[in-house]
Amino acid sequence: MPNRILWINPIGSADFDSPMQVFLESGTHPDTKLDVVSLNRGPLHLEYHYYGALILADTLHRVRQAENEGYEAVVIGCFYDPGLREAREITDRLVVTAPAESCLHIAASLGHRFSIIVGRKKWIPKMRENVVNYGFEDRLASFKSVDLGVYDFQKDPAETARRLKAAAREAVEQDLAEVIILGCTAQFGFYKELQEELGVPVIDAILAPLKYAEFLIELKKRFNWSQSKRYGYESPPQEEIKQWKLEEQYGTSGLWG
Amino acid sequence: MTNRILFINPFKGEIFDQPIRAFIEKEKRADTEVEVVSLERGPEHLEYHYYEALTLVDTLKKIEQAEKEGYDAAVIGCFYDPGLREAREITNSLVVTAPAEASMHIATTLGHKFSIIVGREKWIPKMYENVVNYGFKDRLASFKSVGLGVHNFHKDEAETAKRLKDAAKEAVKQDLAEVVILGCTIQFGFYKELQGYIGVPVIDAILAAFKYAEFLIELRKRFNWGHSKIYGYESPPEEEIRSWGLDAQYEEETT
Repeated sequence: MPNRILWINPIGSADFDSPMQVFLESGTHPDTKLDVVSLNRGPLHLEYHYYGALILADTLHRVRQAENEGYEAVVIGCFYDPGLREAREITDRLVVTAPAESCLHIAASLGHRFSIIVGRKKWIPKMRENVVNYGFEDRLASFKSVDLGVYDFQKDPAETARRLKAAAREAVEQDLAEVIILGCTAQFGFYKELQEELGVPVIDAILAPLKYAEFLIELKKRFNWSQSKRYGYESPPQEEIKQWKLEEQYGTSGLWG
Repeated sequence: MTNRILFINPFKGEIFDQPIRAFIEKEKRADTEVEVVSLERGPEHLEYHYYEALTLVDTLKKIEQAEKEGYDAAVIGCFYDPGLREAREITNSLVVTAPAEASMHIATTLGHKFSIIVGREKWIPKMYENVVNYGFKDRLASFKSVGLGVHNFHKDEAETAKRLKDAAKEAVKQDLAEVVILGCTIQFGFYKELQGYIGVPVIDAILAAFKYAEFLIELRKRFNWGHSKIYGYESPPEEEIRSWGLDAQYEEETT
Protein backbone atom coordinates (compact mmCIF):
# COMPACT_ATOMS: atom_id res chain seq x y z
CA MET A 1 0.00 0.00 0.00
CA PRO A 2 1.61 3.25 -1.10
CA ASN A 3 1.59 6.24 1.23
CA ARG A 4 -0.29 9.01 -0.51
CA ILE A 5 0.92 12.53 0.09
CA LEU A 6 -0.90 15.59 -1.17
CA TRP A 7 1.27 18.63 -1.74
CA ILE A 8 -0.78 21.83 -1.85
CA ASN A 9 0.67 24.95 -3.40
CA PRO A 10 -1.67 27.37 -1.65
CA ILE A 11 -1.90 29.82 -4.55
CA GLY A 12 -4.20 30.30 -7.52
CA SER A 13 -1.69 29.17 -10.11
CA ALA A 14 -0.55 25.75 -11.28
CA ASP A 15 2.76 27.10 -12.62
CA PHE A 16 4.89 25.42 -9.95
CA ASP A 17 2.93 22.17 -9.76
CA SER A 18 4.69 20.08 -12.35
CA PRO A 19 8.27 21.34 -11.87
CA MET A 20 7.87 20.70 -8.14
CA GLN A 21 6.34 17.28 -8.72
CA VAL A 22 9.32 16.30 -10.88
CA PHE A 23 11.83 17.65 -8.37
CA LEU A 24 10.09 16.09 -5.37
CA GLU A 25 9.83 12.70 -7.03
CA SER A 26 13.61 12.56 -7.13
CA GLY A 27 13.47 12.48 -3.31
CA THR A 28 10.46 10.32 -2.51
CA HIS A 29 10.60 7.00 -0.72
CA PRO A 30 9.66 4.07 -3.03
CA ASP A 31 6.41 3.62 -1.05
CA THR A 32 5.30 7.21 -1.53
CA LYS A 33 2.80 8.39 -4.09
CA LEU A 34 2.81 12.14 -4.41
CA ASP A 35 0.26 14.51 -5.94
CA VAL A 36 1.02 18.22 -6.30
CA VAL A 37 -1.96 20.54 -6.62
CA SER A 38 -2.71 24.23 -6.30
CA LEU A 39 -5.89 26.22 -5.66
CA ASN A 40 -8.53 27.08 -8.25
CA ARG A 41 -8.55 30.74 -7.43
CA GLY A 42 -6.68 33.36 -5.50
CA PRO A 43 -3.41 35.29 -5.45
CA LEU A 44 -0.42 33.97 -7.39
CA HIS A 45 1.99 34.35 -4.51
CA LEU A 46 1.67 34.94 -0.76
CA GLU A 47 4.15 37.76 -0.27
CA TYR A 48 1.48 39.91 1.36
CA HIS A 49 -0.36 38.83 4.48
CA TYR A 50 -3.64 39.83 2.91
CA TYR A 51 -3.05 37.22 0.22
CA GLY A 52 -2.19 34.69 2.91
CA ALA A 53 -5.54 35.38 4.58
CA LEU A 54 -7.50 34.98 1.35
CA ILE A 55 -6.25 31.48 0.62
CA LEU A 56 -6.88 29.97 4.05
CA ALA A 57 -10.44 28.74 3.52
CA ASP A 58 -9.65 27.02 0.22
CA THR A 59 -6.44 25.53 1.55
CA LEU A 60 -8.20 24.09 4.60
CA HIS A 61 -11.03 22.71 2.54
CA ARG A 62 -8.49 21.04 0.26
CA VAL A 63 -6.84 19.51 3.35
CA ARG A 64 -10.15 18.23 4.63
CA GLN A 65 -10.97 16.83 1.20
CA ALA A 66 -7.60 15.03 1.20
CA GLU A 67 -8.58 13.40 4.48
CA ASN A 68 -11.86 12.27 2.92
CA GLU A 69 -9.97 10.94 -0.11
CA GLY A 70 -7.73 8.79 2.07
CA TYR A 71 -4.41 10.61 1.79
CA GLU A 72 -1.92 9.78 4.53
CA ALA A 73 -0.33 13.22 4.67
CA VAL A 74 -0.68 16.75 3.42
CA VAL A 75 2.05 19.34 2.98
CA ILE A 76 1.01 22.98 2.86
CA GLY A 77 3.66 24.27 0.47
CA CYS A 78 4.56 27.76 1.63
CA PHE A 79 7.28 28.79 4.11
CA TYR A 80 4.79 30.85 6.10
CA ASP A 81 3.16 27.48 6.98
CA PRO A 82 -0.28 29.00 6.39
CA GLY A 83 -3.12 27.15 8.06
CA LEU A 84 -0.94 24.47 9.64
CA ARG A 85 -2.60 24.72 13.04
CA GLU A 86 -6.09 24.77 11.54
CA ALA A 87 -5.29 21.86 9.23
CA ARG A 88 -4.32 19.72 12.22
CA GLU A 89 -7.44 20.83 14.00
CA ILE A 90 -9.79 19.62 11.27
CA THR A 91 -8.11 16.28 10.51
CA ASP A 92 -7.85 12.96 12.30
CA ARG A 93 -6.63 10.35 9.90
CA LEU A 94 -3.88 12.18 8.07
CA VAL A 95 -0.80 14.04 9.26
CA VAL A 96 0.03 17.56 8.15
CA THR A 97 3.29 19.43 7.93
CA ALA A 98 4.72 22.49 6.24
CA PRO A 99 8.10 23.87 5.16
CA ALA A 100 9.14 26.14 8.04
CA GLU A 101 8.28 23.63 10.74
CA SER A 102 10.08 20.75 9.07
CA CYS A 103 13.13 22.80 8.02
CA LEU A 104 13.57 24.20 11.52
CA HIS A 105 13.38 20.82 13.23
CA ILE A 106 15.90 19.36 10.81
CA ALA A 107 18.25 22.35 10.99
CA ALA A 108 18.21 22.31 14.80
CA SER A 109 19.32 18.66 14.71
CA LEU A 110 22.17 19.35 12.30
CA GLY A 111 23.76 22.38 13.91
CA HIS A 112 23.33 24.84 16.72
CA ARG A 113 22.40 27.95 14.77
CA PHE A 114 20.80 28.45 11.38
CA SER A 115 20.06 31.31 9.01
CA ILE A 116 17.02 31.58 6.80
CA ILE A 117 17.45 33.07 3.34
CA VAL A 118 14.31 34.79 2.15
CA GLY A 119 13.36 36.58 -1.02
CA ARG A 120 12.36 39.96 0.37
CA LYS A 121 12.76 41.75 3.70
CA LYS A 122 9.01 42.07 3.78
CA TRP A 123 8.77 38.38 4.67
CA ILE A 124 10.95 38.48 7.75
CA PRO A 125 8.70 39.75 10.57
CA LYS A 126 6.04 37.12 10.05
CA MET A 127 8.51 34.30 9.49
CA ARG A 128 10.33 35.34 12.64
CA GLU A 129 7.12 34.79 14.58
CA ASN A 130 7.07 31.22 13.34
CA VAL A 131 10.67 30.69 14.42
CA VAL A 132 9.78 31.90 17.92
CA ASN A 133 6.56 29.90 18.01
CA TYR A 134 8.31 26.67 17.02
CA GLY A 135 10.84 27.24 19.82
CA PHE A 136 13.94 28.08 17.82
CA GLU A 137 14.45 31.77 18.57
CA ASP A 138 17.77 31.12 20.30
CA ARG A 139 18.89 28.97 17.38
CA LEU A 140 18.32 31.65 14.76
CA ALA A 141 21.56 33.23 13.56
CA SER A 142 19.89 35.59 11.09
CA PHE A 143 17.50 36.18 8.27
CA LYS A 144 19.10 37.18 4.97
CA SER A 145 17.25 38.69 2.05
CA VAL A 146 18.31 38.36 -1.59
CA ASP A 147 15.78 40.91 -2.86
CA LEU A 148 13.96 38.60 -5.23
CA GLY A 149 10.22 37.95 -5.38
CA VAL A 150 8.73 34.46 -5.53
CA TYR A 151 8.53 34.51 -9.33
CA ASP A 152 12.08 35.77 -9.81
CA PHE A 153 13.92 32.77 -8.35
CA GLN A 154 13.53 30.45 -11.32
CA LYS A 155 13.64 33.21 -13.97
CA ASP A 156 17.37 33.76 -14.02
CA PRO A 157 18.73 30.77 -12.07
CA ALA A 158 22.35 31.88 -12.47
CA GLU A 159 21.64 35.26 -10.88
CA THR A 160 19.53 33.62 -8.16
CA ALA A 161 22.34 31.16 -7.37
CA ARG A 162 24.82 34.03 -7.22
CA ARG A 163 22.70 35.98 -4.75
CA LEU A 164 21.87 32.95 -2.63
CA LYS A 165 25.57 32.11 -2.41
CA ALA A 166 26.51 35.63 -1.37
CA ALA A 167 23.78 35.70 1.27
CA ALA A 168 24.59 32.22 2.58
CA ARG A 169 28.28 33.01 2.77
CA GLU A 170 27.54 36.12 4.80
CA ALA A 171 25.24 34.11 7.07
CA VAL A 172 27.98 31.56 7.74
CA GLU A 173 30.92 33.92 8.04
CA GLN A 174 29.40 36.95 9.74
CA ASP A 175 26.36 35.59 11.55
CA LEU A 176 27.98 32.23 12.43
CA ALA A 177 25.20 30.10 10.96
CA GLU A 178 26.02 26.38 10.94
CA VAL A 179 23.09 25.45 8.75
CA ILE A 180 21.31 27.39 6.00
CA ILE A 181 17.60 27.15 5.28
CA LEU A 182 16.21 28.33 1.95
CA GLY A 183 13.11 30.10 3.21
CA CYS A 184 10.86 29.93 0.19
CA THR A 185 9.49 26.87 -1.56
CA ALA A 186 10.14 28.57 -4.92
CA GLN A 187 13.87 28.44 -4.12
CA PHE A 188 13.68 24.68 -4.71
CA GLY A 189 16.60 22.98 -6.39
CA PHE A 190 19.37 25.43 -5.48
CA TYR A 191 20.45 23.68 -2.28
CA LYS A 192 22.88 21.18 -3.76
CA GLU A 193 25.22 23.56 -5.52
CA LEU A 194 25.10 25.96 -2.55
CA GLN A 195 25.86 23.24 -0.05
CA GLU A 196 28.82 21.96 -2.03
CA GLU A 197 30.27 25.41 -2.29
CA LEU A 198 29.69 26.44 1.33
CA GLY A 199 30.41 23.19 3.11
CA VAL A 200 27.43 23.45 5.48
CA PRO A 201 24.04 21.77 5.11
CA VAL A 202 21.63 23.83 3.01
CA ILE A 203 18.03 22.80 3.60
CA ASP A 204 15.64 22.85 0.65
CA ALA A 205 12.18 24.00 1.74
CA ILE A 206 10.30 21.47 -0.37
CA LEU A 207 12.41 18.37 0.21
CA ALA A 208 12.40 18.93 3.98
CA PRO A 209 8.60 18.82 4.43
CA LEU A 210 8.31 15.94 1.97
CA LYS A 211 10.70 13.83 4.04
CA TYR A 212 9.16 15.04 7.30
CA ALA A 213 5.73 14.03 5.99
CA GLU A 214 7.05 10.54 5.20
CA PHE A 215 8.58 10.39 8.70
CA LEU A 216 5.30 11.44 10.32
CA ILE A 217 3.37 8.87 8.28
CA GLU A 218 5.66 6.17 9.54
CA LEU A 219 5.21 7.27 13.17
CA LYS A 220 1.46 7.33 12.66
CA LYS A 221 1.26 3.93 11.01
CA ARG A 222 3.63 2.12 13.35
CA PHE A 223 2.93 3.72 16.70
CA ASN A 224 -0.29 5.66 16.15
CA TRP A 225 1.57 8.89 17.00
CA SER A 226 -0.21 11.70 15.23
CA GLN A 227 -1.51 15.16 16.07
CA SER A 228 -2.98 15.10 19.56
CA LYS A 229 -6.70 15.70 19.41
CA ARG A 230 -6.78 17.02 22.97
CA TYR A 231 -6.84 20.78 23.54
CA GLY A 232 -5.06 22.75 20.79
CA TYR A 233 -5.98 20.47 17.86
CA GLU A 234 -9.41 19.42 19.14
CA SER A 235 -11.74 19.35 16.12
CA PRO A 236 -14.79 21.61 15.85
CA PRO A 237 -18.03 19.70 16.46
CA GLN A 238 -19.55 18.41 13.22
CA GLU A 239 -23.08 19.14 14.51
CA GLU A 240 -22.20 22.79 14.91
CA ILE A 241 -20.75 22.98 11.41
CA LYS A 242 -23.91 21.34 10.06
CA GLN A 243 -26.22 23.49 12.17
CA TRP A 244 -24.53 26.70 11.05
CA LYS A 245 -24.77 25.47 7.43
CA LEU A 246 -21.11 26.24 6.85
CA GLU A 247 -20.92 23.77 3.96
CA GLU A 248 -23.69 25.56 2.04
CA GLN A 249 -22.26 28.97 2.82
CA TYR A 250 -18.75 28.09 1.66
CA GLY A 251 -19.75 25.81 -1.22
CA THR A 252 -18.22 22.69 0.27
CA SER A 253 -21.15 20.32 0.41
CA GLY A 254 -20.30 16.85 1.66
CA LEU A 255 -16.94 17.93 3.07
CA TRP A 256 -17.98 17.24 6.64
CA GLY A 257 -19.68 13.90 5.93
CA MET B 1 22.16 -0.90 0.68
CA THR B 2 21.31 -1.48 4.29
CA ASN B 3 21.45 1.27 6.88
CA ARG B 4 23.35 0.27 9.98
CA ILE B 5 22.42 1.82 13.32
CA LEU B 6 24.31 1.34 16.55
CA PHE B 7 22.18 1.77 19.66
CA ILE B 8 24.40 2.36 22.68
CA ASN B 9 23.16 1.78 26.21
CA PRO B 10 25.69 4.10 27.85
CA PHE B 11 26.09 2.15 31.07
CA LYS B 12 27.46 -1.20 32.15
CA GLY B 13 25.29 -4.26 32.08
CA GLU B 14 23.90 -6.13 29.12
CA ILE B 15 20.57 -6.89 30.72
CA PHE B 16 18.71 -4.40 28.54
CA ASP B 17 20.60 -5.05 25.28
CA GLN B 18 18.58 -8.05 24.13
CA PRO B 19 15.12 -6.83 25.16
CA ILE B 20 15.77 -3.43 23.58
CA ARG B 21 17.05 -5.04 20.43
CA ALA B 22 14.00 -7.28 20.17
CA PHE B 23 11.78 -4.25 20.75
CA ILE B 24 13.49 -2.23 18.01
CA GLU B 25 13.69 -5.12 15.53
CA LYS B 26 9.90 -5.18 15.31
CA GLU B 27 9.77 -1.55 14.27
CA LYS B 28 12.80 -1.03 12.07
CA ARG B 29 12.58 -0.48 8.36
CA ALA B 30 13.33 -3.44 6.13
CA ASP B 31 16.61 -1.88 5.02
CA THR B 32 17.84 -1.11 8.55
CA GLU B 33 20.19 -3.27 10.58
CA VAL B 34 20.52 -2.59 14.28
CA GLU B 35 23.08 -3.53 16.91
CA VAL B 36 22.50 -2.81 20.60
CA VAL B 37 25.54 -2.59 22.83
CA SER B 38 26.35 -1.39 26.33
CA LEU B 39 29.59 -0.39 28.02
CA GLU B 40 32.12 -2.85 29.40
CA ARG B 41 32.63 -0.97 32.64
CA GLY B 42 31.06 1.73 34.71
CA PRO B 43 27.86 2.49 36.56
CA GLU B 44 24.74 0.41 35.89
CA HIS B 45 22.40 3.37 35.55
CA LEU B 46 22.91 7.11 35.07
CA GLU B 47 20.65 8.49 37.75
CA TYR B 48 23.51 10.50 39.23
CA HIS B 49 25.40 13.08 37.24
CA TYR B 50 28.68 11.71 38.50
CA TYR B 51 27.88 8.37 36.88
CA GLU B 52 27.09 10.05 33.61
CA ALA B 53 30.40 11.91 33.67
CA LEU B 54 32.23 8.62 34.12
CA THR B 55 30.64 7.02 31.07
CA LEU B 56 31.36 9.78 28.58
CA VAL B 57 34.81 8.64 27.51
CA ASP B 58 33.64 5.09 26.79
CA THR B 59 30.47 6.19 25.04
CA LEU B 60 32.48 8.46 22.78
CA LYS B 61 34.93 5.65 22.10
CA LYS B 62 32.00 3.51 20.92
CA ILE B 63 30.86 6.33 18.67
CA GLU B 64 34.32 6.68 17.21
CA GLN B 65 34.45 2.95 16.54
CA ALA B 66 30.99 2.98 15.01
CA GLU B 67 32.12 5.61 12.54
CA LYS B 68 35.20 3.54 11.67
CA GLU B 69 33.11 0.41 11.23
CA GLY B 70 30.88 2.18 8.74
CA TYR B 71 27.69 2.57 10.75
CA ASP B 72 25.30 5.14 9.32
CA ALA B 73 23.94 6.31 12.66
CA ALA B 74 24.44 6.00 16.37
CA VAL B 75 21.84 6.47 19.09
CA ILE B 76 22.99 7.31 22.60
CA GLY B 77 20.34 5.49 24.57
CA CYS B 78 19.70 7.61 27.65
CA PHE B 79 17.18 10.42 28.08
CA TYR B 80 19.88 12.76 29.40
CA ASP B 81 21.32 12.60 25.84
CA PRO B 82 24.80 12.22 27.35
CA GLY B 83 27.62 13.15 24.99
CA LEU B 84 25.37 14.06 22.08
CA ARG B 85 27.20 17.29 21.33
CA GLU B 86 30.62 15.64 21.65
CA ALA B 87 29.57 12.68 19.52
CA ARG B 88 28.60 15.00 16.68
CA GLU B 89 31.83 16.87 17.13
CA ILE B 90 34.04 13.82 16.65
CA THR B 91 32.22 12.24 13.73
CA ASN B 92 31.84 13.08 10.08
CA SER B 93 30.12 10.36 8.18
CA LEU B 94 27.53 9.10 10.64
CA VAL B 95 24.60 10.90 12.19
CA VAL B 96 23.96 10.82 15.90
CA THR B 97 20.80 11.33 17.87
CA ALA B 98 19.45 10.64 21.33
CA PRO B 99 16.09 10.13 23.04
CA ALA B 100 15.33 13.56 24.52
CA GLU B 101 16.15 15.42 21.32
CA ALA B 102 14.19 13.06 19.11
CA SER B 103 11.19 12.77 21.45
CA MET B 104 10.83 16.51 21.80
CA HIS B 105 11.04 17.20 18.08
CA ILE B 106 8.31 14.66 17.51
CA ALA B 107 6.18 15.80 20.46
CA THR B 108 6.21 19.46 19.41
CA THR B 109 5.07 18.44 15.94
CA LEU B 110 2.16 16.44 17.34
CA GLY B 111 0.84 18.91 19.88
CA HIS B 112 1.46 22.26 21.46
CA LYS B 113 2.46 21.19 24.97
CA PHE B 114 4.01 18.01 26.27
CA SER B 115 4.79 16.46 29.65
CA ILE B 116 7.76 14.26 30.41
CA ILE B 117 7.28 11.36 32.81
CA VAL B 118 10.45 10.53 34.66
CA GLY B 119 11.37 7.92 37.21
CA ARG B 120 12.56 10.12 40.05
CA GLU B 121 12.40 13.84 40.90
CA LYS B 122 16.17 13.80 40.98
CA TRP B 123 16.27 13.64 37.17
CA ILE B 124 14.21 16.74 36.54
CA PRO B 125 16.63 19.67 36.91
CA LYS B 126 19.12 18.33 34.40
CA MET B 127 16.47 17.17 31.94
CA TYR B 128 14.84 20.55 32.20
CA GLU B 129 18.09 22.10 31.00
CA ASN B 130 17.90 19.94 27.89
CA VAL B 131 14.32 21.04 27.26
CA VAL B 132 15.45 24.67 27.40
CA ASN B 133 18.53 24.03 25.31
CA TYR B 134 16.55 22.31 22.56
CA GLY B 135 14.20 25.30 22.49
CA PHE B 136 11.05 23.75 23.93
CA LYS B 137 10.73 25.49 27.30
CA ASP B 138 7.47 27.15 26.28
CA ARG B 139 6.12 23.82 25.08
CA LEU B 140 6.73 21.97 28.33
CA ALA B 141 3.53 21.41 30.31
CA SER B 142 5.25 19.60 33.19
CA PHE B 143 7.57 16.93 34.44
CA LYS B 144 5.90 14.12 36.36
CA SER B 145 7.72 11.64 38.53
CA VAL B 146 6.50 8.11 39.29
CA GLY B 147 8.97 7.45 42.09
CA LEU B 148 10.72 4.52 40.40
CA GLY B 149 14.39 4.02 39.65
CA VAL B 150 15.72 2.82 36.28
CA HIS B 151 15.94 -0.77 37.40
CA ASN B 152 12.41 -0.81 38.85
CA PHE B 153 10.42 -0.19 35.67
CA HIS B 154 10.44 -3.79 34.46
CA LYS B 155 10.43 -5.46 37.88
CA ASP B 156 6.73 -5.14 38.52
CA GLU B 157 5.33 -4.09 35.18
CA ALA B 158 1.73 -3.93 36.36
CA GLU B 159 2.71 -1.48 39.09
CA THR B 160 4.82 0.55 36.65
CA ALA B 161 1.94 0.72 34.17
CA LYS B 162 -0.40 1.86 36.94
CA ARG B 163 1.93 4.63 38.06
CA LEU B 164 2.64 5.77 34.51
CA LYS B 165 -1.09 5.90 33.82
CA ASP B 166 -1.77 8.00 36.90
CA ALA B 167 1.05 10.39 36.09
CA ALA B 168 0.07 10.68 32.42
CA LYS B 169 -3.54 11.30 33.30
CA GLU B 170 -2.55 14.07 35.68
CA ALA B 171 -0.30 15.57 33.03
CA VAL B 172 -3.14 15.66 30.51
CA LYS B 173 -5.97 16.69 32.82
CA GLN B 174 -4.23 19.08 35.19
CA ASP B 175 -1.20 20.33 33.29
CA LEU B 176 -2.95 20.35 29.89
CA ALA B 177 -0.35 18.25 28.13
CA GLU B 178 -1.37 17.27 24.59
CA VAL B 179 1.44 14.75 24.21
CA VAL B 180 3.21 12.63 26.82
CA ILE B 181 6.88 11.62 26.60
CA LEU B 182 8.22 8.67 28.58
CA GLY B 183 11.44 10.24 29.80
CA CYS B 184 13.58 7.17 30.35
CA THR B 185 14.67 4.61 27.77
CA ILE B 186 13.99 1.85 30.25
CA GLN B 187 10.30 2.78 30.23
CA PHE B 188 10.26 1.14 26.79
CA GLY B 189 7.21 -0.82 25.79
CA PHE B 190 4.63 0.87 27.98
CA TYR B 191 3.62 3.53 25.47
CA LYS B 192 0.97 1.56 23.63
CA GLU B 193 -1.19 0.64 26.57
CA LEU B 194 -0.85 4.15 28.01
CA GLN B 195 -1.75 5.80 24.74
CA GLY B 196 -4.87 3.68 24.49
CA TYR B 197 -5.73 4.64 28.04
CA ILE B 198 -5.31 8.43 27.88
CA GLY B 199 -6.07 9.11 24.22
CA VAL B 200 -3.08 11.34 23.46
CA PRO B 201 0.18 10.33 21.76
CA VAL B 202 2.61 8.74 24.23
CA ILE B 203 6.15 8.87 22.91
CA ASP B 204 8.46 5.94 23.63
CA ALA B 205 11.98 7.31 24.06
CA ILE B 206 13.70 4.41 22.31
CA LEU B 207 11.40 4.23 19.30
CA ALA B 208 11.52 8.00 18.89
CA ALA B 209 15.31 8.11 18.84
CA PHE B 210 15.54 5.07 16.60
CA LYS B 211 13.07 6.38 14.02
CA TYR B 212 14.71 9.81 14.15
CA ALA B 213 18.03 8.10 13.39
CA GLU B 214 16.49 6.40 10.33
CA PHE B 215 15.08 9.78 9.26
CA LEU B 216 18.45 11.51 9.66
CA ILE B 217 20.20 8.73 7.72
CA GLU B 218 17.83 9.24 4.86
CA LEU B 219 18.43 13.00 4.83
CA ARG B 220 22.14 12.34 4.91
CA LYS B 221 22.15 9.79 2.11
CA ARG B 222 19.76 11.55 -0.22
CA PHE B 223 20.66 15.19 0.25
CA ASN B 224 23.96 15.07 2.13
CA TRP B 225 22.34 16.86 5.06
CA GLY B 226 24.50 15.71 7.96
CA HIS B 227 25.68 17.53 11.07
CA SER B 228 27.29 20.82 10.17
CA LYS B 229 31.04 20.61 10.68
CA ILE B 230 31.50 24.33 11.01
CA TYR B 231 31.63 26.05 14.43
CA GLY B 232 29.83 24.05 17.15
CA TYR B 233 30.50 20.56 15.76
CA GLU B 234 33.93 21.32 14.27
CA SER B 235 36.11 18.27 14.97
CA PRO B 236 39.25 18.52 17.10
CA PRO B 237 42.40 18.42 14.96
CA GLU B 238 43.68 14.87 14.56
CA GLU B 239 47.29 16.10 14.74
CA GLU B 240 46.63 17.57 18.15
CA ILE B 241 45.01 14.39 19.43
CA ARG B 242 47.97 12.43 18.11
CA SER B 243 50.65 14.78 19.41
CA TRP B 244 49.07 14.71 22.87
CA GLY B 245 48.90 10.93 22.72
CA LEU B 246 45.28 10.95 23.86
CA ASP B 247 44.35 7.59 22.34
CA ALA B 248 47.14 5.80 24.21
CA GLN B 249 46.43 7.59 27.49
CA TYR B 250 42.76 6.63 27.49
CA GLU B 251 43.35 3.20 26.00
CA GLU B 252 45.46 2.20 28.99
CA GLU B 253 42.76 3.16 31.37
CA THR B 254 40.16 0.96 29.73
CA THR B 255 42.25 -2.22 29.81
